Formats: sequence, structure tokens, C-alpha cells
Amino acid sequence: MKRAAVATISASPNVNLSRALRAATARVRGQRALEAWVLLAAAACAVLIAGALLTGAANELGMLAWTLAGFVPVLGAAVWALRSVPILPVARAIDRAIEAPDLVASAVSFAALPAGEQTPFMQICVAQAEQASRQLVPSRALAFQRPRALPALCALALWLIGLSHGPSLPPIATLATRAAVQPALDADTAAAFANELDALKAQPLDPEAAELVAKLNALLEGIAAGTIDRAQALAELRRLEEKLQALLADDPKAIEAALEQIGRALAGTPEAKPLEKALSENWPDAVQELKRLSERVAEGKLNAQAEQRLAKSLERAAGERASAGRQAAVDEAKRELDRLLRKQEEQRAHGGQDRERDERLLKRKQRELDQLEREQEQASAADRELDKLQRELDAASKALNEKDKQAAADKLQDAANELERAARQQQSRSQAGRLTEQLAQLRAEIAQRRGEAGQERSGDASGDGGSPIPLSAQRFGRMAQGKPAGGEGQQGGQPGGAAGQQQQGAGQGQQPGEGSGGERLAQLRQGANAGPGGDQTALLEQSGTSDEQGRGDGAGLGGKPQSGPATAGSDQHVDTRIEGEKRGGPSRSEVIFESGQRGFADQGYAKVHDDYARHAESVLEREHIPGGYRYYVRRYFQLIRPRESTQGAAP
Amino acid sequence: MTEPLPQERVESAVRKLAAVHEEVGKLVVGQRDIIEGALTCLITGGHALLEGVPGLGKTVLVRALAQAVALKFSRIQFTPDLVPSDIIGTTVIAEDERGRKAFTFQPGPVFSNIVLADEVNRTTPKTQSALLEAMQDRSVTVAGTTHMLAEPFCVLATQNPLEMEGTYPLPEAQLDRFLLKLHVTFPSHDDLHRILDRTTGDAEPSIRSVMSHEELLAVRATVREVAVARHVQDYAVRVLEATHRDRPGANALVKRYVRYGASPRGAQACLLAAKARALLAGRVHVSIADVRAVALAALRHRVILSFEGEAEGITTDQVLAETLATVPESV
Repeated sequence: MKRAAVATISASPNVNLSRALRAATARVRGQRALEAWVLLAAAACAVLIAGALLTGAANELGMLAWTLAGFVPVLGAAVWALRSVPILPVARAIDRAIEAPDLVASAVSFAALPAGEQTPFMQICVAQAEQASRQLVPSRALAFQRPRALPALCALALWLIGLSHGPSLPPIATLATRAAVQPALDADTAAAFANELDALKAQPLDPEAAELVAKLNALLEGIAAGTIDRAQALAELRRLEEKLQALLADDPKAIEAALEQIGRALAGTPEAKPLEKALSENWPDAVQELKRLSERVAEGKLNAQAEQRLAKSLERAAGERASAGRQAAVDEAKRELDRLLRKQEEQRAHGGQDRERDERLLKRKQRELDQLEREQEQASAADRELDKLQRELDAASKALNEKDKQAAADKLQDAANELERAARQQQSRSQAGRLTEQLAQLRAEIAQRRGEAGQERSGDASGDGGSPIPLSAQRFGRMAQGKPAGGEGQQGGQPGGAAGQQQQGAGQGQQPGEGSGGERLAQLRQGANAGPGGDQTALLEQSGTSDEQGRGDGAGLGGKPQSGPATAGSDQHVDTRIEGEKRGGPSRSEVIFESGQRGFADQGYAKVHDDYARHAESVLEREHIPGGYRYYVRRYFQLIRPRESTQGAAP
Repeated sequence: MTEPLPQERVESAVRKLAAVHEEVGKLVVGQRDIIEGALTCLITGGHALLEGVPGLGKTVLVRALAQAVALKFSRIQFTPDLVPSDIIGTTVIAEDERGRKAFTFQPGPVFSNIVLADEVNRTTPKTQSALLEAMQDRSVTVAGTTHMLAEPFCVLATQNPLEMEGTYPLPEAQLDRFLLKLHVTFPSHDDLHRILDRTTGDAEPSIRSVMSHEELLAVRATVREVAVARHVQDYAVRVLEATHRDRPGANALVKRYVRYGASPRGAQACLLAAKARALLAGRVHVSIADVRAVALAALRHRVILSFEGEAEGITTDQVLAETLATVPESV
């Protein structure tokens, strides 16, 4: 009868328990959905904010982005909520709510067992859980908790609202670019360069030079404003230098020399004396003199003799060629080089002794020939540049010979115009030279600002096939290496020059014996830059050899090896090995050896342990040792005692 | 006679146990956990090792417990010269009525329901072994004859943790035979006042016998019936595993300082004691809280520290507390 009562309890459908569990599960799902929605919504807000910052305005994100941002959290929450809910945590949550430890959890576990396996106590437990869950209020048992990500969601949502309703911000890409801008120069230095450029702008400029000056000015303004970073500045400088190279293709010195030759040809004529002087000193004056001469011829102020003298002088001037004399020098140098080569071959055939000296001589002659050929080429270019001028002079000479004063005057006028054009071009080249120098200084300044001039140079050179190194730095580098600044010497007092010519000059400067005074300057400057100026020195090292840019081994780096003698040990010692003798007495060495070589020694360990433990015990008995410490000693031997399994195996 | 309903049996057991608790509480002030532990051992058929400094009422507690349940009680004061026969008994030559002499077995003090083994660590391992063998087998063999011990049989051994001079600490294998190891702590300020009030007056409290021998056996049967859900048992298993340095769940303290973790007997003790605790609380099922509550007492003497741990003063209680803190209640 009693058993039947128990059976009635177990047969009850546990409606309340099931309902409570379902309700609790639903609340768990709801809590999960809430957590997931808040988390995903916060993530969506973060993504939208990132998008808004990248594009510059939240309104530009597009409908799709907003739709996705709204849809994804809902979908995620639904998926998260629909995942299966483990029953045990739910039941334990109910237990916590009803303050019955593990009642519902145990009841759920017991109820899941087959009826035959349920003990009466289990059935009582299920019944108790059923009864307890009757009073369960799910909302109280499992109250919704505030999602942990809610504050983050609120903050992000507010930010997003602010972005979508506030003024458009600059895109973050722009901000990032701005932030990443590496200033090429500080504003003061850029302003100093701009002031220097103003002096150049004040002069009448050739249109091409004016264009370059304008671009350089814009570049400096950009650097000062911080809108142009270092890389951009260097790239723009490279472009400007390339244009300057084109402007400075012709050697202004060759043209000057050719004009001087023309002037000397006019020297024998008193009528053309001012013109000769002006041609060697001041080209604008020469233009005026030529125009004045034209007027005098047109007005008939020259007598017949003077006209004839002038005609002859003009004819001589028209026949002058800048390259004429040089060609002979080139030919002579070629002949000399051939002679030397033949001589060397003969010496080689006959086993000559002084081959090294001949090699040096040959190389020197080869360099001289190269130089002459370059000068010849430049002179030819100058000839071409002044060809029209000379044609006009020739035509004027012919007209004078034919007594056609007006025609002669006109041709002289044309010659004056041509000279004026040449003068303008020369002025333009001069301006370009100054501009080049400014560019070089600017580049050097930018490179120094970075403090990695050598590396940067290498990088730039590899980018465009070897862009020129700052001219001032080249010059400085050559002098620092004790080599003459050849390029500078060739150009005389002319400021600047094409970078190519500078490099050429540097090549010449390597020849020993030329360019005195460089070594001293080099010493002085090295002294000034020694120590912390590692970057500067590295730059000099590179610029010393113009064809090996970017070789970054700068002087001043690295330590000097210890030069003093090593400390000599005065004490003498002799290692002596004393062999032990093994005799018949008792020894533990075997055990220790085994323990060390092959791990724990089972053999004999039990005996050893007992021996030592006994010895320790006797010492404890004999000595005055505090009780607490005695305990530790004994405990130690207890802990290291042989295991029972191995104890038996011990001898 | 009809068999009582399970619920009735539970209620009866709870009533009886509460009465015993109350009676013992007349003599023993405070020490609720110790009384519960001793009761747990009594109703689960286990033995307890009470450790505490002298004068904390260990002997009083055991004596009061024996009086409250009306069981045969004996006390053995362990000394170094005690021999096994002093405990388990011996055969003596006895003369019968007709003058014939014969060997008869004279039972030792172990033949009682509750044995107080006072200062069990003061006797030699040989004598300790005799007692511990009796605890395990619940029988003694003398002169080739096996004598069964009385049921219920419960040994409540005490030992003093301070005086180590001349003691023989129980080996781990023998400690494992105690269901619980209870630390008897120093009473609180208020409890001290109550102790003085009760013991220094003219009226000495008397203990009534509130549970019969049969009732105790019935309670012991009821304890075993207390249901344990799988997740609770799983927690007990995980706690036990976590005391082993090479098992998953072992914390840093265990990995560093524990030489051997608790044996499976530890899990048995844990669960059995948890059942007793649940019954004492009037529940028919064991909760995780029960397991947590008894884990220290059930496992502290089963975890063996390494020498490093002992040298550094680490206690098994610290290790177990850390283990209980790190093992999750559900996985």
C-alpha cells in the first residue's frame, strides 16, 4: 500500500516542473537573444562609425549598409536564441531562485532515468521539485539581466547619431594621410629658401626658368604649409632637376669662349673695338654696341676704308669656330695615345720593366683625351648655338663688300638680335645654374633632416636610375676625400652647373695631383663633422664616388679595437690529477653512480635508505635537536623511502 | 509491521539525528562541524580521525556521542608500550565449572560500538596496524579464530599535531581508512564562556540516550538511500581528479606541491559524507554544496604533499581549498 503511494508520485506527469523548466528555458533564450542583439548591434554601430569616418559622412554609407546593420543583429540574436539550451544550468538557476540546492537539477536528472531505476528517494526528490516549482515565478527566478555590452552599444549609438546628424568630417583616410605626412622641412627653413628664391625672381627670367622658379616656389610653399611631405618633395625636386638638366645641356663656358673668339676677330678694327670689349665682358652691352654699329653703317658714318676694315673683321669673326682649335688638340691627343699604346705593346713583347709607370701614363692620357673630346663636343654645341650669329655677320661683311650699306646694317641688326637671344639664353642658363644649386641645397637639407641621407640617396638612385646627389654635398664629399673639386674648378666662378657636369668634374678630380687645397678643407670639415655627425659623414662617403651612390659605410661608426697588449698572467699553475684507489671497504659509490647514470637505482636503494634513516635516527637521539626539526628529518626519510613495490626487489 | 514510507524514514532519521546533536551539544560547546562529522561517521559506518591540541574536548565529544546513541563505548589510550593484544584481545587459559582448563578468547576494547583511540599516533606501527586492520575488516583474528566486531563499529581516533616527540605518524595507507579527518579548532570567545559556565558550576549536564541501536542501524540504511544526481557525482569525481597533479583540472598548487592525489576511496568518502550531510539537513538528495562542505574533511588526509610542499609549510587544506575554488560546479 505504501509502495503504491510512492508510485503515484512517480507517475505524476510533473506538469509544474516541466512548465517551470520551459519558462526558464524561454527566459534563458530571451536573455541570450538580448545579449547577442546588443553585442551585434554594438559591433554594427562600430562598423558604421568606421565606415562614416572613412567616407567622411554617415549619410554616404548607403541604404545597404544601414539595412545590414539593422538586420544582422536581429538575425544573430535569433540564431543565438534558437541554439539548444542545456537543461542543467537552467535547472540550477531555478534551484538558486527557490533556494533549494540542486533540488530541481537532481529531479531533472532522476526524472530522466527509466522508471525501474528510480529509487524511492529519487521519486521523492522529483515530487519535491514538482511541488517547489509550482510556486516558481520564472520572471523572479530568471530575471532578465542588463546585457554587458549595453553601455558600449549606447555610447556607439550616440556617436553614430552624432555623425549622421552632425557636420561632415574629413574622411579618416585624409586624416591618416595627414597624420602620416612626414614634414620635409620646418617652416622657417622653407621660408629661408623661399626668400633666396625671391632674389632670383626679381631678375628678368627666361620663360622656362620662370616656370621652374614658379614650381620651386610652389614646392616651398607646400613644404612650409605641411601639405607636401618629404617623399613628395624629393620627387618634385627630382622632376625639377631633370628639367634643369635639359636647360643646361649646352655648356655656357663654351659659348662664352666662342663669343670671345668672335670678339678677338673684330679686334683689329677701331670701329668694332667697343664691340670686342663688350663681347668679352658684358653681353647686353655687346648687343647695344652691335646695334649702334648697325646704325652707323646705315647712316653712312663710316668711310670706305673703315667699311672695308669692318667687312674684313666681320668676315674673320664669321669664320671663327670654337671647335676649330680644339679639334687639333683632340687629334694630337689621339695620336699621342696611339703612340703610347704601341709603345706599351712593344714593351710587353720585350718584357719591359716599367710597365706600371706606362700604365699610369696611359690612363692619364686617356683621361685627357676624354676631357678634350668632351670639350670639343661642347665647343661644337657652342658653334651650333652661334652659327646664325656668324651667318649674319658674314652676310653683313658681304653686303659691305658690295657697298650695300642698308643690307649690311640690316644684317648687323639681325646679328644684334641673335646676340641678344644668345645673351638671354646665357642668362637663362645662369639662372638655371643658381636654381640647380638651390635645389641641391634644398635636397641636402631635406635629406639631413631625416638623418638618413645615405640610405635615402640609395633609395632615390635606385628609383630613377641614379638621380644626382646634392651638388654642395658632392663638392664637400670630394674635398673630404682629399680630392680636388674638379667640377668646380672647371666652371671657374660660375655658380652651379648641370649635375652631369658636376659628376664629370668629380671624375676628373680623382686624378692625383689636381685640385690642390681639397685635402686641407676636407680635414677641417671632417673635424667639424666628426663624432655625432654620422649621417653627414655617410653622405660624404657616398658622394665621393659619384657612380657608387648609396654605399652607406660612414666614417666614425664602430669602435676602435683594443690596441694595448693583453694582460699577461704572471701566475703559473699546473693541473694535477690524482687517481683514487678502490679498496675493499664499504662504499656507496655504486649506488650513486647508478642513480646518476641510469636514473633511480632500485638495487640497494632500500638498504641504503634504511642505513641512512637509521643513522639519522641515531643522530636525532644523540643530539639536542628541537622536536619540530626532528619531525622534518623523520618526515623527509618517510617521503624518500623506497616504494613498497620496489622494496621487495631490493637485496 | 508495515514498512515506513521513505519520507517518513527520512523525517525520523532527521529527528533522531537532531536529538543526538542536541544531546551532544549539552556537553560539547560549539564545534558544530566536528559533531556533525562524528555523527556522519557514525551513520555511514566510517571512522574519524580527530586532530587537535589537548583540551579541546575531543574525548568529551566521543564519550557524549556514545552516551547519546546508547552504544557500547570503550576508550584506548595509546602509548608506546601498547601491544596489539591490548586492543584486540587475547586468548587466556580459563577454568570452567568442572575444573577443566581451556583457552578462551578475552575480547579487547576494540569489541565495542564506539572506540575512542586516544592519541593513536603514540603507539607503535604494529599496534596501529592491529587497530586499523580491525577498522577495515570489522573483524579480528586471534589464534586462528576470526571474531566479528559489533555493529555499528566506529573508531574515533584522536591525535595531537604539536607534540611529535615519540610519536609514530600514521602512514598514508592507514590514514586512508578514516572516512573523515576532522580538525578540532580552538573555541571562540563566546564558546569559551559557555564552556566555563557549564563545566565549573555545580550542575553537570547529563546526556540522555536518544537513539537506540536499531534506530542507528535504520538511519545507516537510510543514509545509503539518499539519491545522488549524476552532475553532483560528476562534481565529486572532478574534485578528486583535480587533486592529482597529472590529471586535467589540477591547479598550480596541486601541480607543484602534491605528490599523490586522493585515492578513489576519497571520492567514496566524499559522497557518503555528503549523503549524511544531506540527510542531516532533511534532504533526500545530495547537492553540490554538500560535496563541497565535506570535501576538506574527506580528502585532507588522502592528499600527500611533496617534500617541497611540506618544507614550505603548505597544508593539504590550502591545496584542497584552491582545488574547490577552481573546479567548476558544472561543465
